[in-house]
Amino acid sequence: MTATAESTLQEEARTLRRFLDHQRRAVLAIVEGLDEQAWHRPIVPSGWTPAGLLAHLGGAERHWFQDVVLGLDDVLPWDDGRPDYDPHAAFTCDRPPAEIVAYYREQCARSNAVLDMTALTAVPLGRHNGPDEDDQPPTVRWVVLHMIEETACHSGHLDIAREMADGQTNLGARI
Amino acid sequence: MNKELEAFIDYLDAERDHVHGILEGLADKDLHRPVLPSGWSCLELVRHLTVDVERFWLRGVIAGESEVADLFQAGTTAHWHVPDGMSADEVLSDYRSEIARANAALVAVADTEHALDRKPAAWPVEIWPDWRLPDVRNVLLHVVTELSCHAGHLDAARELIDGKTWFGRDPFSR
Repeated sequence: MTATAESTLQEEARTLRRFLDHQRRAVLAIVEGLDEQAWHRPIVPSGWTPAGLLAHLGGAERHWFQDVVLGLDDVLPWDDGRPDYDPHAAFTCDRPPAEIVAYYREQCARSNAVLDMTALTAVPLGRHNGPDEDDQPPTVRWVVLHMIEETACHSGHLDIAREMADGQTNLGARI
Repeated sequence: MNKELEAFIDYLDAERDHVHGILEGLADKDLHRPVLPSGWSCLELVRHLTVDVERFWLRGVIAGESEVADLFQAGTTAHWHVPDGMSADEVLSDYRSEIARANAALVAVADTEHALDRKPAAWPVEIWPDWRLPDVRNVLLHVVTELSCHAGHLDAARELIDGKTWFGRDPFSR
């Protein structure tokens, strides 16, 4: 790889990481100070709750960076009593908000540790268990972009949940 | 194609499909009505995506197309409305046309090695004299996140209208 290509890749990695961190902060800012009951109250017919969505985002960080990029399958204390992931079930989580936020933060920190030691052009070592075995992210770049997109999209869901709960909008400052 | 640009366009297209998909089948009256207390309608959001996001950032900032430079005076939230006489079909088809123009502009200016490291071709100094996104990559990421976040807003609006959702789609099924 030429020196210029190497510096482009490093700049790309720094920028992706900055945007991902920014989206994660937006998510946490949107739920900050949300009433505990509102964390567990569905605001739309399918039944997802802010608590469930944040737990889902923690699970997504874990899935994409630990299972898919590294090929790990660690069991964590968090898993005790939690149902298996079902993409078609409404996202809910009956745990206290502080526990869910801690889980999310921990998974984000683990993702960052994975990113620190992995090139964007690397091919993931694990598999994504989607509906079609052939649909896999070709490189780590695609995983990071997906996580940015997924976090941003769910932050939009949380925006609406917050507005419905107590009328507050524009809480997640974004780049 | 430049591998990085290829990934960006793929993600942009997936979120644009999301926007079209989550609105599919809605009656005109539901597309036009405010759903949330903040008062925006789904079509107003699509206009914002068409003009303030796609046209402003991709053709205006990244490609520096002079014909859309007047947007730099208007700001990035000036088009949250449906112009008088514009139908729902016209709003949605204008969004599709804008996407095609934006992708063509991206391929024309950014499909070379290191193109994403370059400064965007134009910058709206009238809006942000001091702040700027330093390179094309930052602008693309800004657009990906803004588009994804607004797709999330539309998801929630659709659920509130008739209960339909976009959950459970696989990100790598294209």
